[in-house]
Amino acid sequence: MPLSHIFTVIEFGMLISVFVVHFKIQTKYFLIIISIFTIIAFIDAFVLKNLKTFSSVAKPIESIIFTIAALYFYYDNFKHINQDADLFHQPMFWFSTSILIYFSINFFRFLLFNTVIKESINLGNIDYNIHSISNIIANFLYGMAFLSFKWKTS
Amino acid sequence: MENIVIFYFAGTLFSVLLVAFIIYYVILHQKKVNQYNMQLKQQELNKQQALLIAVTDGEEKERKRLAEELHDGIGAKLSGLNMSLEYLTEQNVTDQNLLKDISSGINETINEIREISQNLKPSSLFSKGLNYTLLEYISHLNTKGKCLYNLYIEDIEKDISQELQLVLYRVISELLNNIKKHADATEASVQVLLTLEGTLQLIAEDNGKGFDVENKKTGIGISNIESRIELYKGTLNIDTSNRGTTIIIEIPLA
Repeated sequence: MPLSHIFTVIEFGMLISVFVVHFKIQTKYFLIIISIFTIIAFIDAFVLKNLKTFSSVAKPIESIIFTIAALYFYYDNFKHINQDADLFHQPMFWFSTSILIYFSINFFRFLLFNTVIKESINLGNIDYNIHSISNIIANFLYGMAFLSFKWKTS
Repeated sequence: MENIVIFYFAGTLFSVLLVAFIIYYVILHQKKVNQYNMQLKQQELNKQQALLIAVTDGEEKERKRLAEELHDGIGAKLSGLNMSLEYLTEQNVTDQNLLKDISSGINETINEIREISQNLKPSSLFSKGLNYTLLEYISHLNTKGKCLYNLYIEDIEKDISQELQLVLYRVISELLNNIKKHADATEASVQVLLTLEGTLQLIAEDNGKGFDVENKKTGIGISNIESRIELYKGTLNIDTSNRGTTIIIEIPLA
C-alpha cells in the first residue's frame, strides 16, 4: 500500500504531461500543478491517513482533474468542427477516452475504497472486478492511441 | 454503512452510464463531422471538374473561332487573290486595276492576320501594360462599325498580377466582342475600378437589344468568362433588357 501513494504521484505526473504537451501549457504551470498534487498526496499519506491505507484524497482529486481534462479535450474538438483531421485517427482521442473511462468509473471506488474493503471480502471482490474491467478497457484504448500515433521515420 | 455501499454502486453505475453516453455522443458527432467534410470535399471536386470542363470548352470554342476566321476570312481572301493572279498569268496581261485590287487584298489579309495574332497573344500587354493595350483595342474597335466604345480604367497595373491582367484583357475583349457581334448597340462602355474594399470591379454597359441570359449563357462566351473569373473567386452579375445590358464582374484582390 505505501507504494500506491508513490504510484499515484508518478501516474499523475506522467498522464498530466500528455495533456500539458497537447494543450501547450507552459512548463511553469505544469510544475505548479505537479507540486500542488505532490503536496496533496503527501498530506493524504502522512497527515490525513497513513501509508498503509489507500490514498482516498489524492486519487479522487486525480480522477476529477483527469475527467475534466478529457472532457475539455472533447469540447476543444467540438469547437474546431471544420478541422480536417479525423478524431478517430488522433492518438489524443483514444488517450482521453481511456482516461475518461478509467478515472470517472473508478472515482467512487477511489473515494470509498477504505470503507468498502472493510465491509466484506465479497464487496472487495466486486470492487476489484470493476477496477480490473475498467483497467483492461483503458489499456486497450492506450493501445489504440499508440496504433494511431504517426511515428516519425528518419 | 449500507448507504455508503449503495452510494458506491449507484455512483459507479451512474459514472458508467454517463461516460457511455458521452463517448457515444462524441463518436456520433465525429461521424457527422466526417460525413460533412466528405460532402465538402465532394462539392469542391465537382466544382473543380465543372471549372475544368468550362475552361476546356472555352479553349475548344476559341480554337473553333480561330479556325473559322482563318478559313472564312484569310483563306477565302487568299483564294480570291490566287485566282486573280492566275487570270493575269493565263491572259498574259497587265491590268492596273486588278493589280491594285490584289495589292489592297494582300494588305487586308496582312491586317487580318495581325488582328488574329493580336487577339491570340496581345504582345503589348506585358510590354506596354493593360491600360495601353485596352485603349489601343478600344480605339481599334471605334474605327470599325457604328458603335462608339468608351473605356475608363483606373491605374491598377501595380495592384494586380500579370496573370490577372491577361484574364481581364480576355474578359473585356470577350465582352466587347459580344457587344460588337450580338448587341446591335450604338454606345458601349467599359469601366475598370478598384473599390475601397480592395475589390476589382469591371462594369460593361451597352444600349443594345439585350439577350436571354438562360439561352445565351453557353453561346456567347459568358460561361467562358464565368470560368475565368471563378478561378479568382470572382462573381458575375448580368442585368439585361431590350434597352441594354449591364454586366458587373467583381474580383477580390486580397
